[in-house]
Amino acid sequence: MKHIFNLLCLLLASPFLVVAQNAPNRFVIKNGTVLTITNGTFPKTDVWVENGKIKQIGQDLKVPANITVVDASGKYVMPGIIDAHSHIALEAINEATSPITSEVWMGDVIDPFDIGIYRALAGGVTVTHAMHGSANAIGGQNVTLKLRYGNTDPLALRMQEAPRTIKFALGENPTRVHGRGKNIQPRSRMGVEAVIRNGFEEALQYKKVWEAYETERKQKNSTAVPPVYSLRLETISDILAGEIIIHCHSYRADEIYMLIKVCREYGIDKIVFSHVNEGFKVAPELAAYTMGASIFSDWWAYKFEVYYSTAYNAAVLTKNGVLTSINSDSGEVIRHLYHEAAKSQRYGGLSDEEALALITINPAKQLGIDAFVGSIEVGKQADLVIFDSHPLSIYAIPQMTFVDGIKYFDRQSDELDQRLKINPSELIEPIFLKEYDHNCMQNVDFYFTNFGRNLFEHRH
Amino acid sequence: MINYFLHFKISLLLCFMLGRMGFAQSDPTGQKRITSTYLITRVTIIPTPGKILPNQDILIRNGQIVSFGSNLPRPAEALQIPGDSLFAYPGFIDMANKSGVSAPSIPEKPADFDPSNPPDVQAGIHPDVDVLEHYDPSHSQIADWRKNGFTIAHKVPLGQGMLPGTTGLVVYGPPKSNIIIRSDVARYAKFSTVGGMYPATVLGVMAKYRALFENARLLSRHQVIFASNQRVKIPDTNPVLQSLILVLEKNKPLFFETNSELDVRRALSIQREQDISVMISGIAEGTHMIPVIKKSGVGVALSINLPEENKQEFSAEIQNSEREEQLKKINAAYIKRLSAAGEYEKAGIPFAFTTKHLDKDKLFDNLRLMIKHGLSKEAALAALTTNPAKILGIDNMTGDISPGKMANILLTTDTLFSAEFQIQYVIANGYLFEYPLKDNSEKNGKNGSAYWEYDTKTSAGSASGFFEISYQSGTAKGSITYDDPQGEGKITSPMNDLKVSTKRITFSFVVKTAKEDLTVAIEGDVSENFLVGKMYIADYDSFPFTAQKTDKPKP
Amino acid sequence: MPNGWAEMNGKPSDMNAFKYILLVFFLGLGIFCQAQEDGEILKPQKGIFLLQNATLVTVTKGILENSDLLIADGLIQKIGKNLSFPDAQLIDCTGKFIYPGMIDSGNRLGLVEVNSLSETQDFMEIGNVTPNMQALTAVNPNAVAIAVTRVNGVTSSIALPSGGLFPGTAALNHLNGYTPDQMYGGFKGVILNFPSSARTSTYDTRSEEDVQKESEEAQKKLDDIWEKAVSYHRLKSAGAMLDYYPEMEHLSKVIAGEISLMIEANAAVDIRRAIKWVKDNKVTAILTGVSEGWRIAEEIASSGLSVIAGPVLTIPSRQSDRYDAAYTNPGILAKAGVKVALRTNDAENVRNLPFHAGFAAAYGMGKEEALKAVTIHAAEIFGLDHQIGSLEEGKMGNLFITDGDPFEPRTQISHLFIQGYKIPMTNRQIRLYQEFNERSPGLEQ
Repeated sequence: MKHIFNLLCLLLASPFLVVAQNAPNRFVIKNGTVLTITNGTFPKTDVWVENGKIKQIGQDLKVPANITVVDASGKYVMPGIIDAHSHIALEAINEATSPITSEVWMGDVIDPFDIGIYRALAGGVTVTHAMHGSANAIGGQNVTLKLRYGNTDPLALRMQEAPRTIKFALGENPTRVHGRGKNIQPRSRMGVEAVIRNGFEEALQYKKVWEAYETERKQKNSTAVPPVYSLRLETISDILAGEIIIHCHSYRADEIYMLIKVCREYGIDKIVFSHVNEGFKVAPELAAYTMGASIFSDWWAYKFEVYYSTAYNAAVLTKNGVLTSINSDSGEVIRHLYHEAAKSQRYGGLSDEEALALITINPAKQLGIDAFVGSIEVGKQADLVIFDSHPLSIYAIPQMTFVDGIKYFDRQSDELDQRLKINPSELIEPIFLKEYDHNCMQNVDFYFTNFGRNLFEHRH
Repeated sequence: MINYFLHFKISLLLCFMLGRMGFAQSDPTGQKRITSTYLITRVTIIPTPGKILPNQDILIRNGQIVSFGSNLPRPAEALQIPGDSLFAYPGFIDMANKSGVSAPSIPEKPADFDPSNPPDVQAGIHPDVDVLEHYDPSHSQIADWRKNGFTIAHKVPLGQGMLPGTTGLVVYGPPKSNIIIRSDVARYAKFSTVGGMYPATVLGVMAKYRALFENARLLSRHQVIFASNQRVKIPDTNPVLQSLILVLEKNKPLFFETNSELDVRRALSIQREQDISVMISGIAEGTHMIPVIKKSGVGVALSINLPEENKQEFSAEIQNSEREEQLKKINAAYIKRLSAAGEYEKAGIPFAFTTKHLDKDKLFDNLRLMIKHGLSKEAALAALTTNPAKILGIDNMTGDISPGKMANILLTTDTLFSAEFQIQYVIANGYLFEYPLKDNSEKNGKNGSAYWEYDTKTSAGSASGFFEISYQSGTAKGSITYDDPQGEGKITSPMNDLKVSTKRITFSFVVKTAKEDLTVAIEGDVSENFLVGKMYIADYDSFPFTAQKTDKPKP
Repeated sequence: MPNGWAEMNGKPSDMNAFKYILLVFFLGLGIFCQAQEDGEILKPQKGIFLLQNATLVTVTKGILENSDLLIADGLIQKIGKNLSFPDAQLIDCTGKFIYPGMIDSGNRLGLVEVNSLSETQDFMEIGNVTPNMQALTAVNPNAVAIAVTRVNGVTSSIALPSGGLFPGTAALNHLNGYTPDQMYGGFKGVILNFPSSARTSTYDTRSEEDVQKESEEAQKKLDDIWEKAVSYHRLKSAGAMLDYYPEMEHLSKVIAGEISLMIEANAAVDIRRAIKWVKDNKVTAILTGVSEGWRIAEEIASSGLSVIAGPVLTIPSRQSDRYDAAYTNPGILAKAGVKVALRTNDAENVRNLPFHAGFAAAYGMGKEEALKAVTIHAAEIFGLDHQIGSLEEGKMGNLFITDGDPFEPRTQISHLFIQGYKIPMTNRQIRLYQEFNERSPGLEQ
């Protein structure tokens, strides 16, 4: 990919160059079939991009004479794909030592050098929800990333507009890590509920203590002394105040229903269930009380709690009015989310619009960023992918990927080695026949040395 | 040559009696030094990087540099170190080093130990532990570092967790002497963890830093309230938070150890978020970090440790073209790593060096590699002397050679970093350590001679002549012939203090004049058959001196 | 109805199809409740089936438009236009396509039920040299995943044991039947995990030297074992009475040419060593995995060895590789002249075989070659091309009926035949869909 390559050359030459943002991003994608997602599909249509935003959409747009033209004749233009559950571009995934770790933040461990970012761009992905793992009932706060590959500043990848989100996890993973791994709660699904309720209650108390202190402090000649500060409880208070969207790792219908109930009790409606393999069983509840489900297209049977799954999950959820997205939770699957979305057509016959919404506007809504991305609309950020054929076709190959109007992937000028960083001490670059990176249960290995190797395998 | 006064051989560095002199004057071991006054004579001083003062005397007394200059008066109690042909540099300062430091003992885990909420001390959070209470100055590695020119080190504590203790400054003097320059310099801060308990990853570490600092702020607020009104709840005693309150007050910095550029970013995030002072050590990569570091203005220490060059060869059955391509990239990354220090210099960042992870035998090889890849010798010296002194706030007491500063001095046989220079003496806190020289002059057993014709220009006019150097069993001897200053004809004088390497020749000789004996010193860099250098005439000046190696004319 | 199970466009005379329609009717009204409805339990059905007026994608004999295909006695009896047969169940295929059943050339389907539960893992034995372990024994004919897999047109599958140097014997199964023998498709292969110089995964943190050292040790071990097996075979052939030694007994069958050898090699250097080893030891073998085959495609081609490649939907083996290295690998090998079959190497998601093939097709292999890689080429590699891999008279009735390209996700498969049995287009995943799509009670308490 020339753009990045040139940029790197410049970077090497001058350490003072600031990355990417200055690159020209004024261009028009001409004559493509434009899949807007929200406003229909238009053949032979132009998309005019300026200053990182979509300026105009229409046929035969009157654009400035000197503007760069990207010819998309015979091609398909869709919004950048959004992965609502990802672990790429992260140095660490799980702070697995406590059943509640709401104080940790994935923004502290963004790894801008991960080759997985480039591979995702090559699959048309422009936004990932970089999540904490699923070891804890209440995990860490996530960070939403724009895949601005080539930046070395980790926070340059952060999508500033995105609201705060946090990871929760139910079922086998937290009970295995804490209950079976360390002999502390939760050991069962009962314990998971208790841990979450306890967290909520403690946060309410915490809030009360602090409010009392702040009130007292404002009084004349106050000698109020401050209570102890807890970033953990502070964060949970913010959840209860509706400032943070919960993304909850979950599989079984009973545990999903449990958390829906708990959240309703505490007045929380900003919750998205992730994986949610048995979401189809509680689709009416998900539709009524939550921000929906973010699911796998067809994964199942890798552990017991996903044995009773169905690939028709997307169809059932969509038909029941649940806001539904398809995510990857994988450095591999993230490269073909468009194909994962297409599977909803085999398993339940979703329409093209419904299927494409699963990886664009729907995850955008679940991440609270639908005002900025997720569809091709005037004023939205120019996160765009050009495919050579319809993205739901098995034969579709992403040709170009733009983030904020900057081209980060171009199949025609793709360089072989896209690593940003090469380790001078490595002898020969290692070959891996299987990648276990980027998964929900990373960093929890040390609890399982006595459990046998295969515990590493069920990793979502 | 100087065996008529006492000096400290490394093997004798066992028992020193200074500090007890007031009441114990005798020393049956015979190891006590007889004086703390030294005069280094006629040495070339590099007082600070980039400055050269030839033919100077340096007077040292009680661990301090008293004065330097030409022909200083020679106090009777001073032991003299002839510095002719030697170079005096300020002693090196190591920005972060753990040699001699042992880990503090951590109490047993309590019976009700909960890995999700361990006591701070279990989790590697004990910033109040004083590194110097766990420092053994007689550890053999200290002598090794001193031999390599280090006279001062910023000692960092051992410990697996994120806040293992305070740092302290020590001088590499004799173990029983007063070695502490300053304790509690900074709080050592890391992103690593004890493991198996909270925090276990950098995720938890970052959150823990935030929580600790916020609670330190609150405790401080509580203490202020309590100070003026004792009718409120007594503030908790918490040595961890107490230690961090000083950081929040900017009385003490956090001294971060980093292992990657992402660690450096995190350290800077903490600095920004908490509004505290930080120093960052262990920087090894990321030339694109330079603008970020420059903007932050924090003191940084680069690692002298370098990766090995990749010289891997592949068997024929492995696809060579592709592996070669990979090797090229790996080697490019290697060169980039070697060039990093030079890049920091170009950017004007006054960085220091740390010996973290460094094999001491590679110190000068690695520095030379960095110099070969863009680092100037001056900047390299600055990174070992003035820069760390400044960053650590001890530049008013050490880091250069000037009156009043600590007597931390190296005497080298050639200019620092040159191919075959050796450290002959290290003076640390006024204590003298001598090291036997390795014989570098034309390889042992090589006999022969070289004949040089020279030209020089003095204020009195130009002069020319020749000198001859002969080698026998590894020893070099020489003589120089010049016009008789008192009349006609030529005079030949033997060379003193002759040092010959493939790259440099230095010697001196004595010219007798009517009034006095003048010592003339010659030093020059050799490149093939040419020598370009200077002639120093005592008390006068220096003059250009060039020579060419030719065949000796037949008599 | 867009979903697969409801695509049964049978004629009124087709009683089974009629039952399906009834089922749909009940479901639609939401009155499907406690009683066991007749026809709810759907079984594979043997019979005479006349598939009429279809487009036949025969793979070996081109595309035949408006043609009929007759299945009887488990075989494709006849292909032609306007066929008729008394008592045949008629299936109208107007506007539809018939494809030969797809073959996944390597996976764990049926060898594991729930991957994280070791009690349900039957693909690995203890020991480094266990060629006598029979995958066929451990394939559970009633594994839930089998029915989930076949409705996507995958009719045959190679069950792979895994583990040490010689982990066991793989077997080809057709995805219908109640006993291993009913499923067994006539091919067995002893697996050799060729000594690897690659790391097995990102969890493999051995040093480069250790990897090389272990690889060399494994190579020596392989040579020792093989020499032993050759001796065993020689002595046995000479009529010697030898002690019971099942491992050598089994390897000697490979040496005798009775069982194939499937050599798993992935790093380019390992593939190259494997090819040399095959030549040196004069064995017939199939290369499997071959994830870095693209680096040395010409060499593999000139070795004459066939390759089972895959999975296609996987990440490149090195960080520096082009992002699509795994997608393009089968195409590069095929273009170099290698006979390529594909595998998913999966367990529960072997149903994605057509999608692996589709990606290979898109990334250089081409649709036709990719289709062959999951049909006739696989059959040829396993020596079963007289039975499966294409629509030809006399071949096994392994085929499926679609409304389009089977690699395209949107395509619906309406009928499936395995060994001439008409397989019910249902499975647990479809039944869960049927039960929960319009749940009753809904939201109300």
